[in-house]
Amino acid sequence: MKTITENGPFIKSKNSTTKMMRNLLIALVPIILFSFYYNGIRLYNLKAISLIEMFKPLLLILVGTLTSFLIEVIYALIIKNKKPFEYSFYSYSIFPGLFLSLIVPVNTPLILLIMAVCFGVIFGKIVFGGFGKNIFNPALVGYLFIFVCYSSTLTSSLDAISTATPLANLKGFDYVGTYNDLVLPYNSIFDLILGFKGGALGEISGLLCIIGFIYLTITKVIKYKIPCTYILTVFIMTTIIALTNNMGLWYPLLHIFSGGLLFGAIFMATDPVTTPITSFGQIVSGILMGIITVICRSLIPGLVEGVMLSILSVNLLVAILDNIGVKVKFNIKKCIIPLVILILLVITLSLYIGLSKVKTSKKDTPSLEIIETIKNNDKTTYTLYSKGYSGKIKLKVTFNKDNINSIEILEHQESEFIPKVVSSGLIDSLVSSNGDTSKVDSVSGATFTSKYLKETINALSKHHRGA
Amino acid sequence: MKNIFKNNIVLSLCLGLCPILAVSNNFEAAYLMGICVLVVLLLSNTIISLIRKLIPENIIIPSYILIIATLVTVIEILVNKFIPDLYNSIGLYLSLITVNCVIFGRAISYASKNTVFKSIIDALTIGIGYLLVISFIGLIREFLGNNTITLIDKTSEILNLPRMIYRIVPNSTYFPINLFQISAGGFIILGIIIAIFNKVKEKTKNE
Repeated sequence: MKTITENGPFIKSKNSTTKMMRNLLIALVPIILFSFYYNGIRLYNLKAISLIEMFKPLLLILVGTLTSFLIEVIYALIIKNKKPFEYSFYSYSIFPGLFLSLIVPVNTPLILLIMAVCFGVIFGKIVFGGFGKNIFNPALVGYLFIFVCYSSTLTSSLDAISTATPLANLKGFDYVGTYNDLVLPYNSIFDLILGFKGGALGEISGLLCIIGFIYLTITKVIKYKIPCTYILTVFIMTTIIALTNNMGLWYPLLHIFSGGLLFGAIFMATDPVTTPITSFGQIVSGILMGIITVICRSLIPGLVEGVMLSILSVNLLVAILDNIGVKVKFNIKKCIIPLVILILLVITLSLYIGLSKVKTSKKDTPSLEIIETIKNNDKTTYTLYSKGYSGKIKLKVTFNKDNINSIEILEHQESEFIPKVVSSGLIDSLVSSNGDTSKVDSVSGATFTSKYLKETINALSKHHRGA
Repeated sequence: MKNIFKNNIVLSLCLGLCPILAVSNNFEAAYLMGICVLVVLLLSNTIISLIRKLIPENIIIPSYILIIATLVTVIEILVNKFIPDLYNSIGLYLSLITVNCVIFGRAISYASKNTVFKSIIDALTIGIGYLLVISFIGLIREFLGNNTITLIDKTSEILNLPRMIYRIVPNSTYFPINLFQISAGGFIILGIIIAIFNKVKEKTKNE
């Protein structure tokens, strides 16, 4: 080890690593408590789950934290460290497990979480040499494991417990829709900001994430440049997409406050080990993360969330960005050209996405699958299939002259959603709407089913009047 | 013996990784691939050491590729004739044996300089080392990724043997990890095996 012997003013910071990690935990506590309330206590009060299931969120966090702590203890025993527990504590081993349990879906089986934590900690951290030497964020490596192996099983069973997440809803509408379709199922944009929506434990409350961000910035735990540029980039890109598709300011807000964007930007993208240390590197990595997130969300089919993947892929570039950052530190002129190129990239990409969505949204006209038509004087009875969330719905619609008389659901495969649709009175409002279904509200909790029903009735009444 | 374990061509030089990553998600396919490589290696080493004095220095590479490609094509046609199922699943990788570094490397560095007998021994040991590694990785990947072990499935017709696919764990604990069925899982397993290999090698060297 080389020691510095020159004279000079040295800075001694009071911020030790332990103190930083303590502050990080303090910022996470309100988020954990809120998600326990929202995913546990609230559902228990609604009598949707039993008393034991109420503690599932806390159990998830506990198991994740404990597993990642124990893995490092075992590792310390293997490398013959004399104080395994102390070793594990000072390599801050609880954080990968804690973060991972906060970003996985709530209904993840415990065994899967344990496996993902093992994978993340071993291949994301220990293989590289432990705390401070890893290239990738260990929690995200674990998330990638779940994402690659079990994403289909997890997302298909997600809607059974809670409502579809705002992002899944967005995906269902191919990222372009009206305020009624996209935001109203979650009451209003303020409910989204406060966190009254479905999603993983950590990511539901945007407001608490922002409070945590302010706290962490004041206590100098995280670098504020990355989250700021990241969120700003997403905001600009989604605003351009919204403008090209005639949507309001709610659209960028919806993008920012749904999914793991805020949680990822504030807690995962600022991990001290895996992020750039130069301010040039931080700004560029923030912009890159924003670009990748928007591309993943709106251009890649089958991929609902892009935040975690964007952070992982930018982790790859950290060394390069820092290298450039050190060179251009005292020469601001050199920074300008790459930044201008990046900003142009942001604008052109978002214009491209926005304009490509304009074309696709016009094509979408539901086709009718009419099985039989019975005409009896003024009465016409149609039996037809409608698209559903998990299968086809068989409907019987009776018209009296040009007015809809009754709608009956004969067969369906959506065990969860049809009772919700029936009890909410959607059918009655569809009957009274008389084919003009644009004013009928979707049922929250059965968004897709009601959307498809509305489309079918609309198309059928047009067909009836034309025939 | 040195070539099989200590100087194993995959674990110490990382040669011939393409089939190891692509074909080894099934035990049967893995060991059949290993056998194909072994046969091609044996034949190519024999032929090249036989005619090593006839080939001028400056056309070594094209002529060796020609020889190896001929042998690979023969193997490919034979597999297509007798085990069509196998050909459908790994046929593409069979033709890739042509550019497999294991075979080409041994041809240039060993068979072109040594006698026929020595070259045959070299091909056998190297090939067996390759076969062991690829089938071991196939075993682990199939067990973790699919919870089964396939001993004989596609070759059952020409061998007149029943199909042997064993499910090791009972149905209630069936828990496949899909990661190990894709190439990324192959990389991870190979990395772990190389790490253990280097550790053991270091220990034996110290003793």
